[in-house]
Amino acid sequence: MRRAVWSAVGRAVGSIWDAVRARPLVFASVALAVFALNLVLPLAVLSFARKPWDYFSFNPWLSQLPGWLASPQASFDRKLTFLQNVSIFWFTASSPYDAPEWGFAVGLRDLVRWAFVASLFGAYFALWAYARTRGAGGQGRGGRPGGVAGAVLSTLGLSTAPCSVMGCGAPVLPVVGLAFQGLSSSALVGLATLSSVANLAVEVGLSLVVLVLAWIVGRDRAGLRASAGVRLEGSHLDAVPGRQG
Amino acid sequence: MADVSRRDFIKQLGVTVGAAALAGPVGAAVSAGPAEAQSAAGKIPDTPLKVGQMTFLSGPAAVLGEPMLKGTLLAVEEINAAGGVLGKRKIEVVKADEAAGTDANVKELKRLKLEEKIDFFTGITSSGNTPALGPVAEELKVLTIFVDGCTDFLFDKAVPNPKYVFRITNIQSADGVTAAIATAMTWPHVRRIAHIHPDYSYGRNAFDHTKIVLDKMLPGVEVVMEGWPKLGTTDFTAHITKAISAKPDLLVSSVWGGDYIAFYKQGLGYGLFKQMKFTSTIAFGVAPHAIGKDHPEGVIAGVHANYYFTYPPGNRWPLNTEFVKKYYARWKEYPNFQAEGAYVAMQMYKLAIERANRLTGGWPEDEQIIGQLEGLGYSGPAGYIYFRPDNHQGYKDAMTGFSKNVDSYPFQILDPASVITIPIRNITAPPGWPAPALNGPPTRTYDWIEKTWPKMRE
Repeated sequence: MRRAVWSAVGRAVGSIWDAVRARPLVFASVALAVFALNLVLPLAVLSFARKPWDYFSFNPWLSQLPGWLASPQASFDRKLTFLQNVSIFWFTASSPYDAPEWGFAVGLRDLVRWAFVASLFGAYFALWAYARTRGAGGQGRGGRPGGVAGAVLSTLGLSTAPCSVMGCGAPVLPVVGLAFQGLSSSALVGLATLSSVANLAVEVGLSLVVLVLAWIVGRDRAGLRASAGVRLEGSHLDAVPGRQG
Repeated sequence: MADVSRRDFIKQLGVTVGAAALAGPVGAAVSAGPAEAQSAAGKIPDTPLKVGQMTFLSGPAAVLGEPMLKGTLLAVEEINAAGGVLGKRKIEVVKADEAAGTDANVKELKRLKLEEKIDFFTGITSSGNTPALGPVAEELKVLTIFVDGCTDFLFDKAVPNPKYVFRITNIQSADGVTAAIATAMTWPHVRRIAHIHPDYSYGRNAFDHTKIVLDKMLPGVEVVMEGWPKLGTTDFTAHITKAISAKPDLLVSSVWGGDYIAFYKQGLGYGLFKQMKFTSTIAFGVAPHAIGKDHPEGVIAGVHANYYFTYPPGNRWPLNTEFVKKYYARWKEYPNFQAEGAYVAMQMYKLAIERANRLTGGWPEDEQIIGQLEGLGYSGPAGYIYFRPDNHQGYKDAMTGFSKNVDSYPFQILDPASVITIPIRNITAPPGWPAPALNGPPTRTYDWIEKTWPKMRE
């Protein structure tokens, strides 16, 4: 059983690799678009609902990061914790009060998560395109529902993605929590929970969808190869004298 | 978790009412006051010491910024009148308006360093500006003491090892925690709680920390109403009527500044304060003279858990008496927490220079001044304050109190006889407490309270 599972996973991974190699443009363009959407969508929502940002910066301290990581001045745990939290760049919209109108900070963890989700989408569409041209994947019969599910999950995840607010000891609020003012604390907790669940659902759900699609593509390719082999073999047999009639 | 009585827990926290004595500085070996100066060692240049000061000088946040600038200027005038830093270097202040926006502020800090060649930078009110200016100050190697601009973001996510940047502001979580402890001590029978907070990070933070502490200290407490007006709101009618109709025992609020003046005056019209107890985290924190005699008496009127000019009172703490006298004489108004913080920031910078000079002789390098600032304890008008070496954050005890009309002031004040003080170390997460996970508890202190404070019995 275990061997069968590993074999199926191996076949799926092999199919993904083949699909990405065969359709690099599809993979790259979809992945890039999804990655950009992760960044652009929260900014667009906040700019529309509150006000456009007026400040962007890469964290100037990052130039000191390699030296700090190599130095003995902080413990390994401290360095690890900071690396998980460090902000790479951020946007803020100024306000005439004692806090920004809103802030959106992107950290290392966000970039890793975005890259992972973007790769999944890229792989999904590369597989889909690959299957269509190869006639595998049942002409996309397994792909469409998976694509719709992935798109729904993704939209849900993106619209409730966490947004770092640069306020006084502020909690991390979902973008929609920042966008619409006056929400109760329980609504915000609900949105934050939804954000976590939705993000997890996107990552796990999409991984499964891609694996299943890749497995189907791999299986169909194997089936096609086998049937092509049978046909070929049959044609040889047809040519054998004495088999006719 | 052990079952602890509220009374015992409050004792363990070290809470005092009308404090007979001020607690000593935490973790600081020595605490010095402003009168420590001795003659300078070595050769001191007589060129001006240039200080960049940036705060809100226009717009609605000027109610916070102007007292900050006045506090800085008062300290500078005092230092210059005494001959300058180390008796030689007169301070020259270069002002900048923080209301220009974050992008312009970053450019201005660069200009101040590269063109004006400032030696020291101070001020800053907005928590949107410290995360932008802090890393730039580190990059430019500008010795900086932020007076406010409190946000966990700066040291948690942008600069993990501050070298040049210090911050003297109060600890934000202390506002909600202090207000809740004072409430539990004063009105232990309240159970139905209404909240009205400005809908931005400060209001959310005040709500979270008040709630977690009240949940721990008052068994069976429930939130019966929440109102989240936009910052800058002047019409609170809908929130006030909603609060009244929820029939709470207590209303908690962190509305501040001009918003608060509008809020309490509208609340008076609806008889709000006669129908429920009232606790504020910051009602008396912004501009003491803006609070009219019509303000409800006997309410918990917070001061950002930080400083109020009537405390420590009279001859109990001459440093405060002198500071208030000098400030009033200079500006014809009373100081608030921003004024005190800015004043203390300049005095601590001067003290660190003097100490570094005694060790090294001559004008000290920035690294030597920083070495003195780290762990420096100082006796200021509000009491003791010290810079924790690991995070460069200033710590001083939290306070709140009760509103009272007295004949000696034309506005309502915080009654110095019933001020509640709490050692800051007992209400903030200890050093090394891990940062909460994404979408987890809002702050380290919230997480620490949730995990380590017992549920209390009556």
